Amino acid sequence: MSIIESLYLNIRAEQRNTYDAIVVGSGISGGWAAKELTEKGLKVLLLDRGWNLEHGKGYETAFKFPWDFKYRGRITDEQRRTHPFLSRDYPYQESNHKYWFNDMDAPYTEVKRFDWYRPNIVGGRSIMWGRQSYRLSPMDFEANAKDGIAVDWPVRYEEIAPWYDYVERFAGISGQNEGLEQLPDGQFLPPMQMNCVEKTVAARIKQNFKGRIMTIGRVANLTQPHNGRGSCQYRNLCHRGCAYGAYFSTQAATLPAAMKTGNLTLRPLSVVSEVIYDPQTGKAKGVRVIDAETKEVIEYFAKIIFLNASAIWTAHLLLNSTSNRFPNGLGNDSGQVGHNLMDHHFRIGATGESDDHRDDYYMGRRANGIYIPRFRNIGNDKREYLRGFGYQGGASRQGWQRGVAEMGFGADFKDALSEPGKWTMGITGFGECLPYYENKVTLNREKLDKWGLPTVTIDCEFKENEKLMRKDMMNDAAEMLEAAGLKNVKTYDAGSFPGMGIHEMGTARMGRDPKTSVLNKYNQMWAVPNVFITDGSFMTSAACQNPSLTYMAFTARACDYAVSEMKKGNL
Amino acid sequence: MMNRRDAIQRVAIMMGGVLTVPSLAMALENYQASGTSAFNAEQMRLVAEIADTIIPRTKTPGAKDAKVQQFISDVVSDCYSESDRKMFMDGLNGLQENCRRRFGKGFETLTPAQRIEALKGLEEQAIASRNNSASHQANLWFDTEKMNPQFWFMIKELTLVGYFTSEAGATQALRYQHVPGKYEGCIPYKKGDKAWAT
Repeated sequence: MSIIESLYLNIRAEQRNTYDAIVVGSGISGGWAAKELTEKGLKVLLLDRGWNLEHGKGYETAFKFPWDFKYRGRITDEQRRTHPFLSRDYPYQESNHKYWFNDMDAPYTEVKRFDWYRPNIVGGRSIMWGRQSYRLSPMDFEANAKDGIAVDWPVRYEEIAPWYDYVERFAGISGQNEGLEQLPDGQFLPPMQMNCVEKTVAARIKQNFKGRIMTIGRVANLTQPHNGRGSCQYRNLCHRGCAYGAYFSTQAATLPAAMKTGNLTLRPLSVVSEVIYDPQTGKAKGVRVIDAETKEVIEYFAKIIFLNASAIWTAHLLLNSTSNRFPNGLGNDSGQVGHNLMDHHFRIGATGESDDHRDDYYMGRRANGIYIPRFRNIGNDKREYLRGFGYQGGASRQGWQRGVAEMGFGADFKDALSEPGKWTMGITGFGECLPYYENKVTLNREKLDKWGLPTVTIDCEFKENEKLMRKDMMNDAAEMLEAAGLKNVKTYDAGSFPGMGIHEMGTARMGRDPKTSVLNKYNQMWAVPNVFITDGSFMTSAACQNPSLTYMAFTARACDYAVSEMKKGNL
Repeated sequence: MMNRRDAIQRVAIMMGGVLTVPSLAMALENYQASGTSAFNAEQMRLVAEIADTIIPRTKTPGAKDAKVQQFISDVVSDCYSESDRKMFMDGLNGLQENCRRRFGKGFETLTPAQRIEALKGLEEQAIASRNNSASHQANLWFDTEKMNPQFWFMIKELTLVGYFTSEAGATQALRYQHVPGKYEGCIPYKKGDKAWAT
């Protein structure tokens, strides 16, 4: 082959692998990026390291009966061996074990315990997420500036509010507007119902505490058919995948929308090892992919690149994308990439029992609970720590499970367990974690993963501010349940390690100054203007609300900005 | 003076629906699971009889009807750690020894009343050891020198989980709705109505 012929073939191959945009990661934010960019007419390549879980027919366990599971939900000793990190907590179960990443394929190093729940499917954790969907408030975007913590958010609530409207309307969030400054209202589908005890407790909290309310959870489950998707069937088996499309997931919502445009190419089993930097243009020209199965290395090219691999994988990708211009990782002039890792701390609160409502019960399995929005450090309330927390929880009548700890066995015992037990209610606090520079993700080049890439070292802990906050999270919970008339109120602290909240964020924060942040206010890399990061990495602070809705809103806004910049010839 | 909030009892409780027995740091011996099941045929029959004493057939099917022994065998063989499995097997042996000593025969050949007496003896030990009351433990007839009395909570938990999540247990002892289709937060309950299976 002549040099000219070989060059020609290379150019043809490059053309074949060229798109307008590449999106790395197909979870909640990546799915949104694919939808928005394709709907704006861009040819998009969507990459995910996981296998292609197909909507509906891919959800093999969705309609199984409890007795169809050999271990009734438990994982095996062998699975604990292959999933040493995942198996430490509940999300990894017999009914969805295929959705999770094999820890042994890319083990990570914990300087301190960090629970990292990695999916291994197209759709990422949008399939297994908890679906609680809350807006950040004006107070949250102002918090860092007011407290002199880390850097100021470059965005205020007013700028993002229309994008919350936009993503809520498409995703379908059910909930109740409450008119609260600290938890803005939204574009909600009808709320789910509270049960009798929850209604009583909500009324008594309102009577007894100024500035505190209990509302039904705002959840990305449809309470009526919405945009061609079916409404919730109240099976509460969401984490297996929903054939009704009744909760927001990539598969149910954003992927079909992106596919409909004819502009989307989806490539599963694609481990993105590097973003390729072009020193001529000062921009990224594409990404290098390792096929997860064949280990073939392929390069793809595009005008713009969205990184949505989740906060730790995205940091890994940036840190592994080194060049003469960026010896410390792509776009890492500030040295902030991988730092400021945050999660929510939780697993602390109170439980109580109710003697009321013995003649009341409920029907259906509500895939949702109640929410008590933040009330600490608001207005005149001043605590010895910064920021605050909200509560999630719910009431129910005890089931047969109570029998394990109770004394007894035999015929009468069995018959008693066939009836519902006492009403109990529990609430658990979800607290804000401050951004600490020293909470960080770094590369471990000594230990390589299955694909020959450096593994991740995580050094992260909750500190004094979180510990002080946890005292209130525990005591306030007990105080409210007592005031609500519950009996036998007990507090608990089940311990909370970073990562357990599965809200990892902050590893490529946005800010107002390229010297101290990685992204500008449009999620655009200061130093590499055609790279956008809209997964949890961009979060400048954590607030205490579940963050996914915020990722959706910032993703939609960043896509709008990126395409308008492209049209202006700026990218 | 103690304020109202300080007066609230503060104790750690376990989260989640089903309690699991903490695995004790027991010395690992060279225990080997026999083939695919940790149980031989005799142990399988024994486990079935224990489970059926915990959840007997009444107006609704019992543990044996629901083949709970198979579930227990699967979990003990495949899900338990080596040390938990040893604790379980030692517990089975210990129960048999106690039955032979007190009644002159193994659990599976006892009368229904004797079976109840045997499991009550074990339960009292389990609760005394959970509450850490050594003096009380010493006064009980059931001898747990060669076993951990927490075995009781292991087999009881496995029996309840296995039974109430079985087809017989979920649909006959309880009410099971595969696709509820709606959620109603407040509906009337009258004594005798069965609990939801899940």
